[in-house]
Amino acid sequence: MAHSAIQDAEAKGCNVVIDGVSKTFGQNAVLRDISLTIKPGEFFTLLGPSGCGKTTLLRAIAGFHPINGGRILFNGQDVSALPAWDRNIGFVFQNYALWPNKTVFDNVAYGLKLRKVPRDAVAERVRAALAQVELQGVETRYPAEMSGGMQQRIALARALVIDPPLLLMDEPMSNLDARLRVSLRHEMRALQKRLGLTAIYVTHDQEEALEMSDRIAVMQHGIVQQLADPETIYARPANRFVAEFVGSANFLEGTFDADGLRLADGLRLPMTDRPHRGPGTLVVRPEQLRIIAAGQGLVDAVVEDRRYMGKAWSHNLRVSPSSPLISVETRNALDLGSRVGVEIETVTFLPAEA
Amino acid sequence: MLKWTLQHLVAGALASASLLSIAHAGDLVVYTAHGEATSAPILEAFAKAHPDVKVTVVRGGTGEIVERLRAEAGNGSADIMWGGPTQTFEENAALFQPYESASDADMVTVDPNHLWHPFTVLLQPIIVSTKRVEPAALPKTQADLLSPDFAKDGGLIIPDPAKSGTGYTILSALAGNFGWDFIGKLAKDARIAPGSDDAFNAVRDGEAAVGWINEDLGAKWKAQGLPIAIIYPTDAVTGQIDAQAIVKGAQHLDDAKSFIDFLGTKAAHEIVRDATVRRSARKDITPPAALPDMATLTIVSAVDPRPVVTARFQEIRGK
Amino acid sequence: MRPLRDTWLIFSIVALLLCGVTIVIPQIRLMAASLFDEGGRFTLLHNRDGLQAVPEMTSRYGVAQTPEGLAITLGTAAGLTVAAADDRTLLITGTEPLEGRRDAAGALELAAGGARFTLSQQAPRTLFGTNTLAPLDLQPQSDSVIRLSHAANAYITFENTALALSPVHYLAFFTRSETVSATINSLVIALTSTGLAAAVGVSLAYLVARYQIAGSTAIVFLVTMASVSPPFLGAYAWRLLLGRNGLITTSLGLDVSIVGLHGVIWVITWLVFPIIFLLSHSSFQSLDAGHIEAAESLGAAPARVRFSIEIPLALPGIITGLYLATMAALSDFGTPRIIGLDVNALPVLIYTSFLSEAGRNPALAATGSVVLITLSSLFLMAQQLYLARRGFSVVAARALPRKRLSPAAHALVLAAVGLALLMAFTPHLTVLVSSFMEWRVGLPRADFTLANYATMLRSGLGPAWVTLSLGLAGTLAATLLGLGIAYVVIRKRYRLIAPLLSFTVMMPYVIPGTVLGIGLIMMFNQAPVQLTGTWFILALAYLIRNLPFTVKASEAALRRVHPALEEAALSLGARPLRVFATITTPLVLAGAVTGATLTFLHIVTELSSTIVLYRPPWKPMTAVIFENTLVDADFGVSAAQTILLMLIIYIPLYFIVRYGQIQGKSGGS
Repeated sequence: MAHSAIQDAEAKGCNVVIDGVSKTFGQNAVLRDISLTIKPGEFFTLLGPSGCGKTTLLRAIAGFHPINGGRILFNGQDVSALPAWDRNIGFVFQNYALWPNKTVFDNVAYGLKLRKVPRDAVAERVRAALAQVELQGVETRYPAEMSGGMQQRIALARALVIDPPLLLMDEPMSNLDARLRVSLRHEMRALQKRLGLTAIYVTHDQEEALEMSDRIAVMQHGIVQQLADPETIYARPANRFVAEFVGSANFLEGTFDADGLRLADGLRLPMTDRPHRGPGTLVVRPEQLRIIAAGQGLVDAVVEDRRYMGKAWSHNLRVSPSSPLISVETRNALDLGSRVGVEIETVTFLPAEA
Repeated sequence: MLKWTLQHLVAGALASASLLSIAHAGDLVVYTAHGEATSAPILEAFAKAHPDVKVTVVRGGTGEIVERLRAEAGNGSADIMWGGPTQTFEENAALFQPYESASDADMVTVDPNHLWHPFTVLLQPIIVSTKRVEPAALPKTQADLLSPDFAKDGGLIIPDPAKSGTGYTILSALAGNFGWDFIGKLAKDARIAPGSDDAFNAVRDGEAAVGWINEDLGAKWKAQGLPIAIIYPTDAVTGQIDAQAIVKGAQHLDDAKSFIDFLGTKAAHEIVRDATVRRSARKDITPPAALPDMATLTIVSAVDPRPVVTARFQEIRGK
Repeated sequence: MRPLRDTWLIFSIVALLLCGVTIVIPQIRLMAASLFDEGGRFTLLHNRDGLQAVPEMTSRYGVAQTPEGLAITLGTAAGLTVAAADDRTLLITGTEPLEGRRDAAGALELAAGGARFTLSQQAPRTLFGTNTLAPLDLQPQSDSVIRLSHAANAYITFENTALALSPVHYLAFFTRSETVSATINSLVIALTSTGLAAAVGVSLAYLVARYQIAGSTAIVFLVTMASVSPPFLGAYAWRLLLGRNGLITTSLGLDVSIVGLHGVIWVITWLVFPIIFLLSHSSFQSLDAGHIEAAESLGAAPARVRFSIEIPLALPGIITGLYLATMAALSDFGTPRIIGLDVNALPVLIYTSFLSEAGRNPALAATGSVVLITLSSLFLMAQQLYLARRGFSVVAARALPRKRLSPAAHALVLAAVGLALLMAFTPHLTVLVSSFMEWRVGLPRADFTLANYATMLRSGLGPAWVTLSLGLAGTLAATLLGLGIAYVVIRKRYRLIAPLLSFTVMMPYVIPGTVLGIGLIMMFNQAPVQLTGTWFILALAYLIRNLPFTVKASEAALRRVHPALEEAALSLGARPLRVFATITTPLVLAGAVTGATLTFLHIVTELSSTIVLYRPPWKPMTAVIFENTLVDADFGVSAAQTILLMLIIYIPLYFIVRYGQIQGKSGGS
């Protein structure tokens, strides 16, 4: 069963190639020579802060605005010159963009009517599409009468009802409350996998990206900073921006040599077993640090302040008056002002030229 | 989108136009400066005499009608211009075509070029508001109008000769007979109305003390008992002749000629006299009883042509 | 190739071209007409007193009396000498060779020293004279001498019709007392009546918006009704009541009259009062409770809050109201024409110098038009400058609670509002009563009659149909075009084209109706596009005049439609025009319908451009009524027609007030 489902999926999803795409608005370069390939059936996320170009790229794929350079290919066919209405895509908008003057039924049926689907088939397919997003009996209601979560589902049903091989989603969950968002993540990914279509998802929420995606492209200043699966992105960020944007991290600048890392203020972390050499930045996630008794670790530090986060305590430690604060998470609270030892488990070292 | 818009616009307009069907292609189109009261009885009589000719009447001030004829020259819809002083027809001779009507010979005057055909003779006596002016102070001559006493009662009101044919007639005739110095004194404290109707109404309502009026209207008002006095000055009475003409390029020339001929008939002129208190331009029609005999009056004609009068009057007013 | 496939780009270009031809070029032609002057002329009078020049009809040429005759200076060196030969013949001698000939139309031409004159003569004829004028004729005597024979006592005009750029029209405009006083009167009327209306309108609006006043909804509705009344009606009604021979003046035996400048100001004050009231009222209503409470929490007393917070925050709306009122007052043609008598105002001056029985002066009309547009543009600039510095708009996050008034104060406010409404509705009431009165020679009798309505139904429903059909056609066109243009401006934002279109479409905002009409006539009075005399030019004028309002209404509606709503349809496979038709249009319909209704109301009450442009049989009701009020034909029938017109106005108004929001006559733009 599972095997055949995947076969189906591979037949349905669309392969998207972004080939050297550039886009400028006036003097402002928003996309700079972006190239990437999205595999059929993949849940692909464009992640980045606002203004990084992720939405622009998504809208270029949708055909909402022309690109200045490069090509976009769907299943090998160049669609760069094709207008949005000929690209056969599903698009889910941040604000859902449900037409307030049309009923739920008319909203969902719009794409089918355009495709001249017979009347009874329309009714059936609308019902099925709504069932897919777990909505029933809402056909005659108006969008304004529904909750945000339900509107989001309707928007999804409207995009899916035309059976697009490619579903584009522009921060579809950013207007929902936190709990609903978390529960929808799983549901949406499951639906996408069940339908087997290719999904490109834009978000600035790194948790969402990590949880839902097969692969993530982290973008900044119109450039893809790192393209990898979620685990790699988190554990081995390609650069400081990615490390900073995805999760939180301590950044220690210094120079690696055989005796370990020498920090800018002269302090030395005796990490002799690492292969890294030369100047650069050491990236250490808070949970990659372990607190042990003073004098036992790589270095000793003083607990400067602490905050209770619910699932853990977050502490700021200071190694010496001139060194930066180090952020650490522990299950139990440490006494303010106490001296503790710090051990580093795994790290990422970003050489200076990176 | 635009094509669609235009199509709908045109379709809608055509639909409403056919719905209205105000003007039929076959109608004789008469542009007239005469009011309903003057024109309606004549048009009724014409309809009886020529049941086959349908007449569409378009009303407007003389200036507006001439302006329209000028704008439409070449593809106009008008066949006849009916009403307006003879000099208006002469100044715009290019807009009209000559026609020798049999009745031209019966008139008190005739246009040697046969462009216009006289209709009525209109004199301009003095009108005084008896609400504002004491009986003892009523003027008897044009020269009496120079009296400074009128100023406190609303003053003398003159229709701007640049905007009113009647105003031009009065000023040109007075200037020709009493000289421009007289006009200068007259205009010194006078008020200038933008049209002859405004000037007439102003005295009727007592907004101004004194002015001139077309005698037919004055007689009617007097008969209604309005607080006015109508005075034919003993030194000079100005007058103009009201006429009609066929518009150049008239599309219904035969009907237009019938209409001109009809306007010259004795029957038509009797109607005019009885319905409107106007002196007919026909020699054989006695004037309305309410009007004094012309033989007892000193009638003066306009002398200086219109551009001269408007230019000189503007000079006088501009000081 | 790709731009050609963009339907909207093609639409914008076509719309821009159309707007250019119908809005921009006519104004340029008006400007040109005011800047060009004919090469000059001189007029000679040859009568029994001999030969003399007529200085009033001589321009640009020097004429001097010499022993040899009249010496005319043509240029630096060239000149003519004209001497009387006998009483019907002149001898013209040139310093350079002269040439006389007849042109194709039969007019006599004289070429002298590079100048070319058209000759014409005018000679007096007695009232009953039948003499034929001897025609003008030129007989060359030698190279430089020519004989001119003419009629007896003739004025002979030598006119050089070559056009040359010259400031002479402007010099004349600002030195002649008639034009200077018209300009000053217009400014006085606009500023004084706006000031008076503001004093009444703003304070009443404040009271109604901020205090609990009985029937405040009805008050606002009544003011809205007053705001769309036919603009010229007030003048006639007030003259009827308070003229020297007015009903009130006569019955009270008063020796006063409303005719004159003070009357114009009074009538226009009540004409523009509703505009100011409505815009101020909506500004005061949209004040946010938070702003007031913040001031109160800091210890400001109510009076202080009023002048330091409430009025300043409402000021942008009030200023917009003042601007619209000033524009309406400045460009009003009907009121000064009817009640001004000898008080001239610019719109009247422009109209009468363009369209008059005698003494047509298109150059003066064009110059006056340019001056009037300049004045209204200055007012617009002042308003824009003000709003640019204070470009905030207050949207009530939380509505203000209305304050209570003491019973005495409440009664006082109600009385004041009632008085203002009475003034604003005086025209309506007067017309209503008039329509049931018998009229003779332009004066009402005290007898009740239905005859006026009978006469109207018998003779005159034609104008009502013209008004209705032109209103519908103009509204339809203005709404559709406005929607399309708004879409291009808000959504498509083509470089250069969209801003240009947006600017062009707003230009009629400062063009008074009279001027717009004259511009259109100058533009379209000859082949290949001769539109004068057709219904189309009226519809065109109405369309142009109302485009600013429909575009602004659609723009506001479009701004509230998120682009994603359209993109959603695009992504589902709908083509742009289909998206516009099935998604955008239904969503902006409510806004567009409000704009359309206002447009309809503007059109059916429009007088100033109508009066210039209408040609029978397309004579709308406003023109019929206006002319009847001027010549005092039979006002009873006019009153009945006006009541019919009001029905045409107030029925749609009722529906939009009922089903939508409307902000005054000029659509809270």
